Amino acid sequence: MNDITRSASSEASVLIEDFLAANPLPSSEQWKAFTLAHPAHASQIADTALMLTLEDADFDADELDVELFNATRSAMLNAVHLNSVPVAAAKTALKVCRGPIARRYAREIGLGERVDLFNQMLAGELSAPYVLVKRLAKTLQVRMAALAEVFALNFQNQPVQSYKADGKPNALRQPVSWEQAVRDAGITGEEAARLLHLEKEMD
Amino acid sequence: MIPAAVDEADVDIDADDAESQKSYERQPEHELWLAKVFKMDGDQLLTALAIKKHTQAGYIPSEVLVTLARNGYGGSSRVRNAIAIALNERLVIGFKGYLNRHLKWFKVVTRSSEAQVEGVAYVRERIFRSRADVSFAEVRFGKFIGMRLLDWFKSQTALKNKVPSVDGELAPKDEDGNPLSLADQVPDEVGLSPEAALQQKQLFASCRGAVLSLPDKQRTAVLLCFHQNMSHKEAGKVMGLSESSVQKYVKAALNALRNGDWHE
Repeated sequence: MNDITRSASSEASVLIEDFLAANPLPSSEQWKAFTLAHPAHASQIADTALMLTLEDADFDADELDVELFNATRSAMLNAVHLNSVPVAAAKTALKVCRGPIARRYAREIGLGERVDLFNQMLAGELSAPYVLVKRLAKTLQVRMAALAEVFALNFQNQPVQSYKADGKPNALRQPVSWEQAVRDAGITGEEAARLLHLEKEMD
Repeated sequence: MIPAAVDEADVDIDADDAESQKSYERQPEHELWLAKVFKMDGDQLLTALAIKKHTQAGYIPSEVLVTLARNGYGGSSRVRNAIAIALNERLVIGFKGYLNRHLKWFKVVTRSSEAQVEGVAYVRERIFRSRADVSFAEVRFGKFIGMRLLDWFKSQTALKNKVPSVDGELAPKDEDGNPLSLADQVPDEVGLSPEAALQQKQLFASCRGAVLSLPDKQRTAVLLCFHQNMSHKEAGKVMGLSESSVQKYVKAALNALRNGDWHE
């Protein structure tokens, strides 16, 4: 495949993926309108329509081919374990959030002046609302799931407290809930309500 | 523990193409799932990953698994391994699903386990190749597999110059019990009754392999006219050809199907 053909094929793939993202089960009429709108890619669109139309594959009904699964298992494990770039990128990006600039990031993601909560979130000490992870990922231009993974790793890597004179160390086994963190921070009234509502937001 | 590398097919990698960088909007239901997963501890996530049936409560959508896998999510090797294994199961099931439903004709794949491993490797590589924040596989996993398999089958056909066969398909028979050729089964495109239209649809399902193996222009002409219900004039406009040229390609395609030229 030469460069021009490859580029055209790739362009067609992007167009078709866009179309399928917006139309999960396109009708013949929708495929037709799509083809008419993109005549330069008619051949690839027609082939894909043929492949994907009729029934949307009900994969659940299929049995797992154990032989094929076993033959491909190691490679998938490798692919997942060797895919460390997104987490490394998130770790690097988080370094800029430390110190005085943390206040700016706290405001940007909707935490207002609650830098304490922001720092707890970065340390993985609290179970942050999804929307905060999403907003911070967008601000830092890193992937959200990778950022969530860094929070989890930060929590795991916290130094274990030594035994105190008054008893066993009070080390957290799990991040505290968002509600608990807001309460522990002594936040009340409207601000508490606003912060707690973040748990229900998605965007 | 990271397992040793395995021998797999060489996969043509063009990391800078547009597809690998295009980012999509996550589906709201997948966002809800991610929010749930982020709240789970390791044991809870392992329990959810053990659910294999789509109909069971707590089944994590494949799109969400892709997100977790391509972002190294898991918190521990044990959980990451479980995510990788669950995703591999979905991939293998999806691959076989398409193969069984649509591409039985492709002998080179159905008869060779090595070729199937190559096919799965190709799709897997495309999952991890994307550098987009949200890849297409994280939005429509089934469609992603279908599209990537189509690419792969085409490249394999071109590369190996292997030819498909419809031996696996049972051809309908006439009144005397003689098998009908594919072209004989194609009804006239004018004045189809609903029953005939349904038959036509079923016919396309059974012979799509044959159509996919036709030469490019014949295939596109047939697909536009029969599958997308375009007139010859519309198909000609899309293909940059005259109406009569489209008719010629359609006729040639039907002749090829009738004579079996498409797999000779």
